[in-house]
Amino acid sequence: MRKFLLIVLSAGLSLVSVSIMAHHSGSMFEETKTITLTGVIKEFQYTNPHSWLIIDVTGEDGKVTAWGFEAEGPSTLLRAGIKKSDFKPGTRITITGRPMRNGRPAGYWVSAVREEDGKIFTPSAGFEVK
Amino acid sequence: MSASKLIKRFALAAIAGSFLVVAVASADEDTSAERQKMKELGLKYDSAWALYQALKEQAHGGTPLTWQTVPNWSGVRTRAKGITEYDPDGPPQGEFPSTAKFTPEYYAKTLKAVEDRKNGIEYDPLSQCIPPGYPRWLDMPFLREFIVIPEMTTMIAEAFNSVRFIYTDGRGHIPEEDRYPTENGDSIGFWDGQKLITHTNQLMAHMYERAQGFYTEQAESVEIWEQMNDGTLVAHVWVYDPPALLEPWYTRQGYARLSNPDLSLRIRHWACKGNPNNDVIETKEGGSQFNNFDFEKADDDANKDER
Repeated sequence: MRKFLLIVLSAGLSLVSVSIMAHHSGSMFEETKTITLTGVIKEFQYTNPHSWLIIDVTGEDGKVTAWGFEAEGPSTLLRAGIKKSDFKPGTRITITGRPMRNGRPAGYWVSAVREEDGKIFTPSAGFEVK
Repeated sequence: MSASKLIKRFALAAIAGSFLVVAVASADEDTSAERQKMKELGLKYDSAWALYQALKEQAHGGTPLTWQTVPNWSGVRTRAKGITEYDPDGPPQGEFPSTAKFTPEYYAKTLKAVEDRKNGIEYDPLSQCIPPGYPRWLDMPFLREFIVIPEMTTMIAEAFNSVRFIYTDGRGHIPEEDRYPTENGDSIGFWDGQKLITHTNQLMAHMYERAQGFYTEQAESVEIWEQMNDGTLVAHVWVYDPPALLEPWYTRQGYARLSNPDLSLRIRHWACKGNPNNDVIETKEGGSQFNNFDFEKADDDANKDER
């Protein structure tokens, strides 16, 4: 069941492949591939021109790697209902993003779910006109 | 919440999110007849200045605003359609911008940019803090505000703290002998009732958007700005640029007023280097790559030779 849901998840996320970035090209990220990781928030850099969510991810070998996920700046995140206080250090999340093509530990933030309450955070929702 | 429930919820939300993006991109009234009429209007004149003068003559020189007739263009706004496409009614970014008629040289240049993008090769000078400039100003996403007083209209885009000043106090352009290219150009205008008509020159060569064409220092534009009944500001824009365009490129730009009940949406300073992880440089192949990350250990950076 879990495997099935992950496949469904990947199919859905692949449709959200449009990289909406005003400041730089999104060509360093995979266009359709996604990666899903679970980790603990290290820092939420809530800034212009882009925000970065940095999480510590523990691998199967016990090694901790810091991963960064890029999103738009504060005004777009606010329009998506994402506040700086939503991701305090120590918060556990599962995040899906489009990884970098060159294998560096970073990606374009597609969606994240906060473990404590199941709340979902999708930055691209900030481009909805309402 | 169990892990399977969490993943199921996440999956459904992600799928819904994907349809949201599609819905946003396609939601618009049918303006095709209006666009055709405006395109034909532009074709009647061989320069932006000639079109501007004709519109001014038609408006009997225009009607200066007073504090009693200043329109209310307030509110935090964003593009109503076409998040990063220069022409909101043209093909999506990544496809050739077929609503423009480029000269052979600029057609080839744009086609190359489109093909390179498909192959993952793309670099934007904005990455290293070159301002978007105008007319690219029109397609910057994020927030906007418009301030109208009788003597001038100030148009503010959040991205790059980019501000345009449209003088409506009767002054002309800067004398030709004193002109030099500037990012947002020199804009003057007049009011025809509640419509603002502008003329802009003195522009700096740049791109309309990534893989959507390029303009030269000779580009000049005319805009007609008006507010629709739903509060959306619409700008009819004609760009004339003989070295790059065979005919004026007409586009219909829109800026919707956003709901902001708790007043949390506001324009914040937009420093290009405001985040240590936003240093994007041009690769040897002409692509884009991040420089160092502040969260990455040096020994994790296995691909540093690429940069």
